[in-house]
Amino acid sequence: MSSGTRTGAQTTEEYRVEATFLFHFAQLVDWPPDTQKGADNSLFLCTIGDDPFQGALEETVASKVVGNRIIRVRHLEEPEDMQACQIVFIGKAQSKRIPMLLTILNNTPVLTVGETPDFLDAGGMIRFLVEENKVRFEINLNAAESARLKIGSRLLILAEHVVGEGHGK
Amino acid sequence: MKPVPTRTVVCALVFSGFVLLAARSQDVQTDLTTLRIEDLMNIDVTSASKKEQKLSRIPAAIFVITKEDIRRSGATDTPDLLRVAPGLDVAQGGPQISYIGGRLAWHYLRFSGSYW
Repeated sequence: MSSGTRTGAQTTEEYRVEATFLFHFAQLVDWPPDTQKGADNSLFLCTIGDDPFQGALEETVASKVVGNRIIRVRHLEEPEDMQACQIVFIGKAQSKRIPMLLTILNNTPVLTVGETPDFLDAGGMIRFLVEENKVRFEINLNAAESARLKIGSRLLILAEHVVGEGHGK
Repeated sequence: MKPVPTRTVVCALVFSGFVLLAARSQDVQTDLTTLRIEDLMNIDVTSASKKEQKLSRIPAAIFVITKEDIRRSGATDTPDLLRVAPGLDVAQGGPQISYIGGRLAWHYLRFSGSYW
């Protein structure tokens, strides 16, 4: 594998690519200014339950800087702790309690990202899917707007499907 | 030339397993964060490895270094001793720092406040 190879024919594990997507989401989403907490200017990227990324988040995005914020990765046990995160990934192992988890967040400005088929219907904001071996995502703009998150236009253009598009008054 | 203290050897045995485990979960990959999001969308992915795998369930190579191995190895410190384990490379980065890696991953090891 030469160092020059970037987008060659080689395949990469899905979760590794998705971890990197989360890094881009951190760059392309705006959080309300009042949610920048105190002197600690960290951007918390969290998972709930066992780490679905098998360490790939730490390997790829931890300590990267977005704007003036350093990305920190947390693997949470307690659902209540999600409120302190900027991004939460809720994997398919959590599928049974996704409605409960999203209720806890209830419009707090936390970008919720999932992968289960009904994640957006349940009120999640971004869902990963794999089509023809490529990672795609769809966006629930209504859910994001209710939580006062601004999804950048570049993300909206790249999304496979946007729920709530054109509803803005 | 001091003999290897027993406590260090115990640490070495525990950590050699740990290092191999950690090394297994990493392969040398392109830093994907250098790619634009548009390029990420063109990467072919596999989901060969099941998600939500507990770290404790990821198969790890375990190699036990016995008392006899230690005696025969002639090692005078722990990094030296770890060279005995197959698939574990130990590179000396100075008098106090060694880089230890299984496969292609490199890790700092730190015990009780001192790097070695």
